[in-house]
Formats: sequence, C-alpha cells, structure tokens
Amino acid sequence: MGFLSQELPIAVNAAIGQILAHPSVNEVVTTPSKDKHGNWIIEINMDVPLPRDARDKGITATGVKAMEWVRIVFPTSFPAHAPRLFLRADFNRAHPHINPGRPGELVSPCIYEGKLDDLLHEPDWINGIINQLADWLRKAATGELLDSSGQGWEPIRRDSVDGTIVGDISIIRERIVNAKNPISQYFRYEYWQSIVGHSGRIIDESTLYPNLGEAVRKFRIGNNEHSPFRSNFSLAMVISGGTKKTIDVYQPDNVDCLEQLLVRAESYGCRTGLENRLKEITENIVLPLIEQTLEVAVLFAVKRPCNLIGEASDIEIIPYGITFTSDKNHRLQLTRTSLFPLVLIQKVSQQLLAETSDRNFNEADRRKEIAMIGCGSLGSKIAMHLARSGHGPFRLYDKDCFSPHNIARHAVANLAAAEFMAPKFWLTQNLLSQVGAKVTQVNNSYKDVISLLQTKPDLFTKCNGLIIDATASRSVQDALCMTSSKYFGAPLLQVALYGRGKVGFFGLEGKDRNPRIDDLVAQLYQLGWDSSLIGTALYQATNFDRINTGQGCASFSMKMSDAKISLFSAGISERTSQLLDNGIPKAGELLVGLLTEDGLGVNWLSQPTTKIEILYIGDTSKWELRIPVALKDQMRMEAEQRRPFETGGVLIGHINWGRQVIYVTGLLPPPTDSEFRTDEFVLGIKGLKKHISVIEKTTSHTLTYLGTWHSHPNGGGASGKDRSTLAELTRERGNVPSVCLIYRPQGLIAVPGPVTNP
Amino acid sequence: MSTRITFFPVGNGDMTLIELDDAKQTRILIDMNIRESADDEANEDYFDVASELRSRLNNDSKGRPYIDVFLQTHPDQDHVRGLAKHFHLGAIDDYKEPKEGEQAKIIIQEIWSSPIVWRRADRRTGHTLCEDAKAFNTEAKRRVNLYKETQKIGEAGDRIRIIGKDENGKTDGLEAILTEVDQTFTKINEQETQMVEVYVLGPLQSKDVEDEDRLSKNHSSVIMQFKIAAQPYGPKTNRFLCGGDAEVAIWGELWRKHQYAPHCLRYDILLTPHHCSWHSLSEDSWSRSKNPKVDEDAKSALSQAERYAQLIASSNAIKDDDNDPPCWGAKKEYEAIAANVSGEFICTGTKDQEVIGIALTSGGPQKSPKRASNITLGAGLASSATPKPHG
Repeated sequence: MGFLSQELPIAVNAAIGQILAHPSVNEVVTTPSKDKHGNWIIEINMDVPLPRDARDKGITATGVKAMEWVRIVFPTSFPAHAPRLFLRADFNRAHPHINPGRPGELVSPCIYEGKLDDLLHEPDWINGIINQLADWLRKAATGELLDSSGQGWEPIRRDSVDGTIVGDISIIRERIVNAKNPISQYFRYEYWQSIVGHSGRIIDESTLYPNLGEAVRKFRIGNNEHSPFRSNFSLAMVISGGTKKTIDVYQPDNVDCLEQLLVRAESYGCRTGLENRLKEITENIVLPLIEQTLEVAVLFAVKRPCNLIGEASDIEIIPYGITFTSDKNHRLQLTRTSLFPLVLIQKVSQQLLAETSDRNFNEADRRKEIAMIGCGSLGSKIAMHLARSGHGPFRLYDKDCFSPHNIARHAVANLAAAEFMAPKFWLTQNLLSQVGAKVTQVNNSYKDVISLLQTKPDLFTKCNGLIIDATASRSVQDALCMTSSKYFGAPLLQVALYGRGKVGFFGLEGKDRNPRIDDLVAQLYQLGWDSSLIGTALYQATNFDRINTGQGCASFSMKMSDAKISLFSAGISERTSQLLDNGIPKAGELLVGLLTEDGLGVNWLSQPTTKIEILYIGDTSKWELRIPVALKDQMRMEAEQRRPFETGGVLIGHINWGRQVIYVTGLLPPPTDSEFRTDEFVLGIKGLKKHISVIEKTTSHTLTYLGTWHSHPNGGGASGKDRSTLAELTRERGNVPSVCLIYRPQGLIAVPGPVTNP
Repeated sequence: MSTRITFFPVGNGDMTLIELDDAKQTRILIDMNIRESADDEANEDYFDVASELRSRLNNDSKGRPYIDVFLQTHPDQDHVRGLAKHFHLGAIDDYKEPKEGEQAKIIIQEIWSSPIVWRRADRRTGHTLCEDAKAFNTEAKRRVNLYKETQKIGEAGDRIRIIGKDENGKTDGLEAILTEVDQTFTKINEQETQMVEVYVLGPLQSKDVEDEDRLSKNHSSVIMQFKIAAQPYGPKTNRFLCGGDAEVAIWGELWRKHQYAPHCLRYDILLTPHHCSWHSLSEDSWSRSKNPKVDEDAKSALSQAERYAQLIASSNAIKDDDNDPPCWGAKKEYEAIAANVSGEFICTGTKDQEVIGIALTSGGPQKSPKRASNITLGAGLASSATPKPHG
C-alpha cells in the first residue's frame, strides 16, 4: 500500500485543479511532486499586470516581471494548514511585506494581514489565496506595497521569529523625540526562555541609565531567584541616531550576526553609540560560570519620513537580541555572540485596552477616577470589565474578607487568598493591576465606608469619573445620602441585583444629586408594585439566603450563579463605559434589568427620571418629604379636570425611619364615594382599605399609605378642616408619620401640624 | 489606497468614479445610472452598483457619506438616474439622518455642471427630462443662486463649478465659479490636490459650429480630459478622456479645432462616447444605411490614443446586429484604434457582475489582476433553476 502515498491526496488534487483554472495563472512549470518531508509541490507562472510604462520591457523598475514564477508548497497537514508560497530567489527583497529570509533562499511574500490558514477557510478557499497573491504582485509591480501617502511606513515585519520583547513603545518614542540628538542608553530588562524562545520585557521604560556603571549600581544582572519563570535580569539598550536625520531607505531584515548589526547601526547613524555600549559590556560584565549565556536586547530607534502604518509616530523601533556566551575567564567577548531578531510587542496600556475594546481613547480619560464601593462579586466584575476596556484609575473600598464561598462568584480566583481571608479590596486591587489598571492608593480601603463618611465626608471629593456603590447595602446607601453633594467629585451610581438575580438595578443620580439614589430606589419600589414581573423578583423571592460556610457559620447572601451575575455586570459595565466616554446625563438614569425566562439574557428597561421636590413637615420632630415632580404634575392635571371643584387622593410611598425621610412614590385615585365641592373635598373609603392592604402585602410593607392630598384650585393655605383632618390621621396612626398635602397652582404645601403622635 | 478609476457595470449608461490617493482621499463621480432594480436585493440580475459605490466612499466628520465632486456630463436619464434616491439635495443644514433600515444619503460637496448643456437637452427632448434631471437642475440652481447672493464660494455641499458659458450672458458675473471651454483647472472641491489637471474641451459654444440647433441635436455634453498623477506632486502620467453622449458633429468640430495641437485629445483611457454609439463616429444610420460611412474628423478626435490605451464602452454587451447603441460597427472602429497602440477595447456589459478597475500609477495605468470569483457563485442559482426529481 506504500504505493498509494505517492498519489496526490484528494484535497491537494482539488486545490491544484482550482489553481490551474485561476484566471491569473498562466501555466504550470512543474507538475506536482513530493519532497522528502512529504510536502506536495507545484510550480506555476502567474500573470502580473504591469503599468503602461513597464510593459515594453516586461519588467518594472522594482524588478517585477509580467510573468512571475511561484512555488506552492502543500504541507502534509493541508487543508488544515494553508500552502506556503515562494517567489524566485532573486525577487527584489527590498519590497515590504516580505517574510524574513536570507539572500539566496526563495522569497516568501507576506500576502495577507491575517492568518493564511484562516484565509483558506473562507468561502473562496484556495482561490482566496491566489487572488491575494495576484493582488500582492500587482502592488509590488508599482511599488505600491510601500505607500507613504496613504498607509504609512511599513515597519519591519517579524511575525515568525523566535523571540519577543514587550515594552511601552510610546514611552520609548517620546524619549527619542524629546532627546532629538543621538542616544545610546540602557533600560532594565528581564527575560526567560518560553516556548517561542527568548521572551523579554523592559521593566521600566521611564528610567534610562546613561552608562553601564550607573545601571549596575541600581540593579543586578543575573538570574532572578524569585521568578516562577526562572528569568534573568539583563540590559536592553536603546540606540538612536536622533530625530534630526531621517532614514528613508527600506532595508530587508537580513541582519544575522553582530558584524551586520554594526553595519546596520551605521546606516541608522548610530554605530558609535552601539560600539561604546558593547565595549562597556565586554569590559565590565563577568558571569559566574563559564559557557554561561547572557542575552541583551538592542532597540534601534529610527526616524522615518512618514508615520508608520496605522500609528501616529514616525519613529520605528527595530529590536534585536544578542546572546553572549562567557569564555573560560567568565568574560564576554564580541566574537562569542549570536544575533536574533525580536518581535516588539506593546505592553498593556490604557490606550491598548481601550482600542482593543473599540473605544476612542482620550488622554483626559486617564484622569477620570472611578470609586468602587463594594468589591464583591458584582463590584469586582464591573471594575474588571471597566479596567479591561481601559478605564480607570480606580479607588476601592470594601471592609470584607475573601472567604472560600466567594470563589464561586468573585472575579478574583485565588484559593490561597480565600483560605487566608485576605481583604477583598486588596485582592481586587491586585486583580486590576494584572490588567494594567491603576489603583489610587488610599489608606482606609478596608474600613467601613459608613464610619469613614462620618468622620471624613470629603472621601470622594477627588473622585472625578464616577462613584459606584455596589454594596447592596441600605446602610451604605443612607450614609452616602447623608453626604452633601458638594463632597462628591462625580455622580453616584448604584447597582444591585434582586430576587436571586432576576432583576438588576442601575440608578444614576442627577445633577446636584437630584434625583438622589434613594429617590431612584423609591421609584424602583413603586415599579415593583406597578409591574408584577419586577415586583415578584423584588418582594417575593427571599432577599437573602443563608449560605452555610462552615460549622455553625453562615453568610447571608443571595444565591445565584457566577454566570447570572455576569449577565448583569456585563450590561452595567458597558453602559457605565458609555457614560464615562460620552458624558453623564444631567437628569440621571434609571435602568431596570429583567432576566429573560430562558436565562439567556437581560432586558434593560429605561425608566424616565424626574426631579424631586423637597418639603419639610411636622413641628418638633421634623420629617423630610421627597416627592417626584412628575407626581406633582399628575396632581395638577387632576385638579384642572375637576375645576372649579376640589379633588384629591391618597399618597403612597416609602418611609425611611432612620433618617426620617418620607418618599412619595404614587397616588391612588379618590374612592368612588368621595365628594367634590368648590370648598371641600371628602376622601371616600369605598374599597380603599382593601386597596391599601393589597399594596402593603404585595410589597412586603415597603410601600404604604402615607396620607392624603387635595387641591385648592384657587390657591389659599390650609383650612381649619385640613388641620383637623391631619390631627385625626396622626391620632389614628400613632407614631407612623402622616402627611396632608395641598396642591395649589402656586405650588405644593403641607398642612402644618404634628405628623406623629408622640 | 491607490489612485484608481472605476467603471461600474450599469448597462447602457455611464457611471465612473475617480479615486485620488491624496491626503483627503478625493472622490470624483462622473454621471450615475443607479437603476431601481439595482437597489432591489431580491433582484439579482443587476449588479448592486449603489453598494459598490458606497463602499468606495468616506464619511465626513459627522459620519455622513460624501463625494467631493459629481460631474454631470448631460442630463439624460442614463447619466443621472438614482440621484434623488441616493444623494442629498438641498441645503446641508436640511440633511436628514437615515431612518431605521434606510441608507444615509450621500452628500455632493461640489457639483460640476453645464447650464448650456442642460438647456440644449431640455430643447432636444421637448422638455421631457426625467425627474432626477429636474432635481439636479434645481440643486444646481440653488447653488448658483447662493453664490449670486453671497458672492462667496460656498461651503462643502453648496459648491458648484459651472462648465462652459451659458447663452445670452446668463453666466456673466459668475466668473469666479465658471470654467470656460479650453481652460484648464486644478482645484477640486476647493482643494489643490496636486494630482489632477482638467482640460475642458466641451460643451462647444454655438460660435464654434454653424448653428445652435445642430449642437442641441448632437447630445451636447461636458467633455473633459483629466491628467492624473498617482500621488500628490507626482507626474500626471494618466490621461482620461470622457465626453458623455457627445456625437459625431461635436467630435468632428473638436478635431477641426485641435488638429494642429491634438495633445488635449490624447488619452490612456477613453470612455467611448454614448455607450459605444455609431452616431459618435458617423452621420449615417447603422441600421438603415446600406454602407454607413465613418466621419474621419470625428474618428481622428477619438483616435489620439497613447500606447497600451484602454477604450471602455459603458454599455450592454455588444452583439453583431443592428442595435445602436451599443453598436457592433463602433466597436470594430474602436478595436482598430486600440490595435494601433497595442491597446484594448473593453465593455462593462461583457462581465456585468464586475467593475472595471484601473490603477493609475506613476508608470501609467495598470489593470487589475484577474481574480477568481467565489467558487459557489452561480452554482446555487444554477442548481435551483430546475426541479430535481428523485426516484
């Protein structure tokens, strides 16, 4: 059966059939044959349309012919992997978009920005690759591959080399631009051998050391015993001829020994700089062992005639690695070196994160601080989402410790931390720093925000992005509400989940904290009564569950899965990101998220927000009454309709006992037996009792009867009748505060008098 | 991006886009023929030319698609169809954001238009010009009146360049926005792109020809020679000649006028007039005359081809029959012109599912490489055309 293997595999056969039918393919040069590695090879000639002026000669000034020979190599893994394409060995290597290779070898064009393997899996299959090659050759024929007006300078491409260097390119470029003159200095550098080979990182781009003596005084060279990667500390040098001289010659990437590196440095106008640094290294560094290696990075910074493709800088950074091997005297010599190219990869930066997340990054974003109060499962996830899309810096507060059951849902995944009960804020801070986010250091992150605000109300004055309360704590909400708006550097956003993750709440305060967060929560309570869908989740599901966390221990938290929290946190984070980018609405924002029945998603309903009017009622014990302007408008309409008679109804709302605040959330229409006269409104009783009891029962007594309102269509203050009604209510209701409001065209007033019966 | 010219397959009609690789990525559209059914996704017979055009345009700072220039060679329907549907007409402040499911209208930053051509066409057709042509005229008038009021070159969206003097001194006082015949200009949409030089060959004035009537009957059109560089400040190595539907008398007259200095008629790329019509080359009828004769002067005007020139017919596929346009006889004439310079005659209708794109390089025009179409393209349609019985 060994015979069969000599035959063309079906897929290769089909591909070759397609290739031969391709309209740009002129002829087959050699029929398919198999090489010693089992690859199938075919050689063809491709037609290349030449510009008018080159057609007579049949070859362009850039050396592209009207017919180009192409070798197509099908790997044994074809069609899982794409075929490799090669052009003749004397194809001009000065074209950009050519993969690195040595002179004399066949030239490998880089025809596609993405992966060729993936292109092969597009609907056009092998034609897609040949089409791409045909386009590439056409562009090569006019030198269009390097197009400085449209695209920019093509940087050296190093997609397939065996080493990487990670650094913050923009900081390095800034140094070069500021320096103007030639420089040759050191960075602190660390590397290890990963599966791709040399993997290095610049430790701190903002600190440059002018000479070796200065550098070794500040840090050690040699292996890093603390590193789980068994990495080595070393040096990276940035070598530049300065920005006064533009290097506009495109050179192929064929440097592969130190000698050539020096020649290349010369063409970049910085040979002396490189020589001096290499001399320092060989004269001063002694390694502990013989035949020990030390790898050093060299970064050429070269000024180009135009910006690099897709970048806002004309400085190209071209990195190489040099391996020194110590001699028998433990010393380094230039003759005992090898050279390898490195791929330069941008370090994580806010800008990189923002761009990857499809956000437009502005420098001003760096100053938009986000305070995260509560770093629990919801808060940590939101913080992480925001950090990953390049937001921050953050300011974190959480008084709790991370314990084993938190592993189920918290963004932090760290068993040891859970077993050591590490503070949540600290773990979240570490997590955020792992994605490159900045966290503002505050010395009271682990303290209770409630007590902090009592002694230090200006806790959030400096926070100018957004203050997010994700504590799901009514006492934290109260503490935040008692803080004057002048102490808030940014609007307050409260996010919370209710009913085991069936309902999400997103409440953003308006300008001057009106509506305030407690007003929005009161509005949510009313929504729970208006909509049974919200109400069921809000009032009927157990608010907190007992989660057994140990012998005799329990934590009171809501039971729900990590994924369910993520459904909500993802939407909340996305909206928060928009607000940070596009500006925060002055009227605030109230969103209520409902988990879909199949659990696949969340429908967020946007609720209109309304300004709040504040009245103070009672005499000795003052109560604050907060009523939405929307409800006042409703009173006005009803009063207009009944004119010239008086009208009125029942006030429904929520009472906050601790802070003595009454929130009016809704109006009940007058019962049918009510009486409307020009000088009197009598609130009837028919069905009222039942109505109230249903409301109280349905909302678990969150909403209740607060008192009455009635209209004075022609204005005027409280009548004697009004006062006695209030007195009667107060008597009946004991220490539950009672309210009587009068709507007049000039505005709203409360009937004066005591509102509770002491 | 590179500088290129694209001829869209729009049947017997014209639609040509010049894309410049300057800093602003200038786009010049010459005529349009976006047929209703070409917009209709369900009807796959027509190439979706509107989407093809849109994919080549950029958005302005407010996210609205725009072209720098729309040149209207003459107001026949096959040169202006689709204007009102796809383009914003009226003051820029009245631009309406598209409703859900609608495409945003394209803004025309500058119009190039010839009132005398419009007047002649209106007379020739007995005042039956199509709605799009009337809409175009209204828009052009709005822009001219705006200039008359303000005496200032308008903002993008209000600009107009008038090509050729109008009759009875109607263009007097409009000199700042007027380009007369035999003048050259380089400003495109108020920008010096350093890439284009435009020579205005027509519309001819009545003093050039014996009578105005003859001009009206001969499909008077704007005729222009573009010299285009590949990059700003580069040599203008690519010459493109286009003349709408201009017919034999006009081409003959152009030859007599320029025969001693014919460089203004030279081209690397020619859009053959009137969709490869016989009437651009001959006074005789192709179908009725037994031995139709070519007018040598007109042919000379259209024969000033550079080496490897490309002659484009924007028309339906050309068959060996009595039809005109496109006309088999005209095709033969153009093929002969092409053969003289080792050039090529290409018709947009031959492959009506593909645009003809030509890169304009510093070494002259360069054709697109031949690409294979999608493997499954057509297969699904073909195999679903007939019932497939199964036993």
